[in-house]
Amino acid sequence: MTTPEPVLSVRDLVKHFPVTRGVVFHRAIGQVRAVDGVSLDLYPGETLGVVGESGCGKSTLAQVLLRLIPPTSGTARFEGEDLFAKRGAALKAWRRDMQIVLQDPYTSLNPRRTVGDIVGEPFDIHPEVAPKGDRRRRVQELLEVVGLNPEHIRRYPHQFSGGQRQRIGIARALALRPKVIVCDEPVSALDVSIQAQVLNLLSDLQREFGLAYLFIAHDLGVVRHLCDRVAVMYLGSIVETGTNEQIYTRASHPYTQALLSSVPVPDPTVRRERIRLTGDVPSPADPPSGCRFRTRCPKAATLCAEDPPALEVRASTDHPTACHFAEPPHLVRAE
Amino acid sequence: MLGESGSGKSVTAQTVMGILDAPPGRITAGSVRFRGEELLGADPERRRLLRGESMAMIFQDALSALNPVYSVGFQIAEQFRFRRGMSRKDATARAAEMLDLVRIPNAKQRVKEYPHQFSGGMRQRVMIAMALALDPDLLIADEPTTALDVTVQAQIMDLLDEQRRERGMGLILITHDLGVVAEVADRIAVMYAGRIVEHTNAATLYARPAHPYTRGLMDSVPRVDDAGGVRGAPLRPVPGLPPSLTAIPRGCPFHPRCAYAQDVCVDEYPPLREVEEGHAHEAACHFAERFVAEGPDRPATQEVVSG
Repeated sequence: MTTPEPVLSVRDLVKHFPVTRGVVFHRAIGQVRAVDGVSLDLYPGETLGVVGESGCGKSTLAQVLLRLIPPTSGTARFEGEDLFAKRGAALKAWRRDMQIVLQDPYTSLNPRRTVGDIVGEPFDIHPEVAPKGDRRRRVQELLEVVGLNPEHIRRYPHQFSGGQRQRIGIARALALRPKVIVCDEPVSALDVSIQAQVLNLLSDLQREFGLAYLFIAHDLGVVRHLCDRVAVMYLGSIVETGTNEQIYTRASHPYTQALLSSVPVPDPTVRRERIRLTGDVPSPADPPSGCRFRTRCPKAATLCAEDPPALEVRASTDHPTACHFAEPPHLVRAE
Repeated sequence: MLGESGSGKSVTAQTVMGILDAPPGRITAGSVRFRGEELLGADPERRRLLRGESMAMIFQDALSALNPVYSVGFQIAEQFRFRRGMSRKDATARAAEMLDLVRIPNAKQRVKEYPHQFSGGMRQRVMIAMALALDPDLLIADEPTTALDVTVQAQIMDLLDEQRRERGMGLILITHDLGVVAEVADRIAVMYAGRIVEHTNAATLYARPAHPYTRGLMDSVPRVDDAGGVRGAPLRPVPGLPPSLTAIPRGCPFHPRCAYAQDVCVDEYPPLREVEEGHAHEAACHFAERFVAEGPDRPATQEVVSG
């Protein structure tokens, strides 16, 4: 974290999706503001957790950063180079450096291809990484690294369990020796005992290969376990960001506080003060004026409707938070 | 009822409700008694009368549990019309009251809306309203919050707990989330490979788990209230995979994944039996007493393992 140069640096990233009406002439009648001004830095070898509830824009953020969909505006630099300006050969070469592990290990592997084909496919696209004769050995090595039996190279995805399939997805992401892996909810489809195995694997791989993870998740326990720094998203924007310790022990944004207090703790002797949010997340097509969170916020005042709070370090906090009334938690933490 | 996928939680619940798909399912042995009345083998018409009236069930996926082509009001009102003989108008008014009870804003207007017009949390509330309509004695909730975000999950669990208390209704909560059960359950049954492997009150279960599997589950969960220093320390997952239910290992079904397995575990199935006198603490492990006595500081089940 002390490394001065971030590997990935994002500024004011915006992604809007048009809402259209009409069959022949698609008239735009509105915008879904999926990502609305996100800035973040990811340093080599660290894990940055992006947490938020469904629809907060965390997966859209991942897709934009992987150049799977174009941004509406904003900049991103990968090792100092403009990510959104890359074209042709430069773009293809860059894709080796940033890979993704997807949530659903059942739909993200092609059922008609063997594990060897799936894990080896990155080498077909980037033949410079592994000469043809060497591929089988490389794939078997990768399977071994993620804890699968290298003998199973000819098996098909359906012959594996959910946890093992997720390992296949991880092996595929590792094939090209990337610098950054985006993990989009990599363990949320798995049972707890299997989830723990995969989390341990991700930690081991990070140490071994010096990977940086952009770790997208809704499970706050998992993020606390794995991440160095955490960014909390709500309706397309980051509302609070800080180190693991700052977020989990000194959260100052009411949304973060409510989120943390909503997570049930597996210990019946722990009784915590609950901050209950009412209602649902507003539609990103029609977000509230001012502070996005004000419609569900227990602290909301007239100021919040008029003036959107900036994400900045405030008098009462030691890390950036986007709330006019940010204050440390009274008793959000257990014990 | 706590357990991972395929441990038999839902099938147990479906058997109790009498909604198990049969065939292919077949109930080969055992007994289900409701207020002393044997349900297995009972007249299907009698079971139909009990469903909704005496026992009701809610499901994980509210969108597929609700009928998309009828308004939610119609679906709730149906019960009042056919079970209580109410007119359509009165039944719809009662349906709106039910929506209000589960805290759906503007219940009078929303009663006319269709399931797709509700958010995930609101749909779950609709299903709860439907289940509670005839004031059942028993509510079975099968993973009711698994598909929901944490802030909404907390709202739904509060609602279920409040309704249970106010109605004096029994609640069977089926979940895989150790946090959710810890917060609402009085007693917990842990299932593995189709059987209950441990059963006791919540406080005892978390303080002194008597089955290595229970302990393994607890060691697998990264906790949100963990002290900062713990970060980076590897979790201690249960090694291996749950068995296929077509090939359950002989002896103790957990023995291939258990760090404490002995010869006896391979040969003999450990029945569920009392472990601690006076604590109503049952476990299905040959070494349960030793496991409890050694306490939580006992060495980890196993270090980093691959599956």
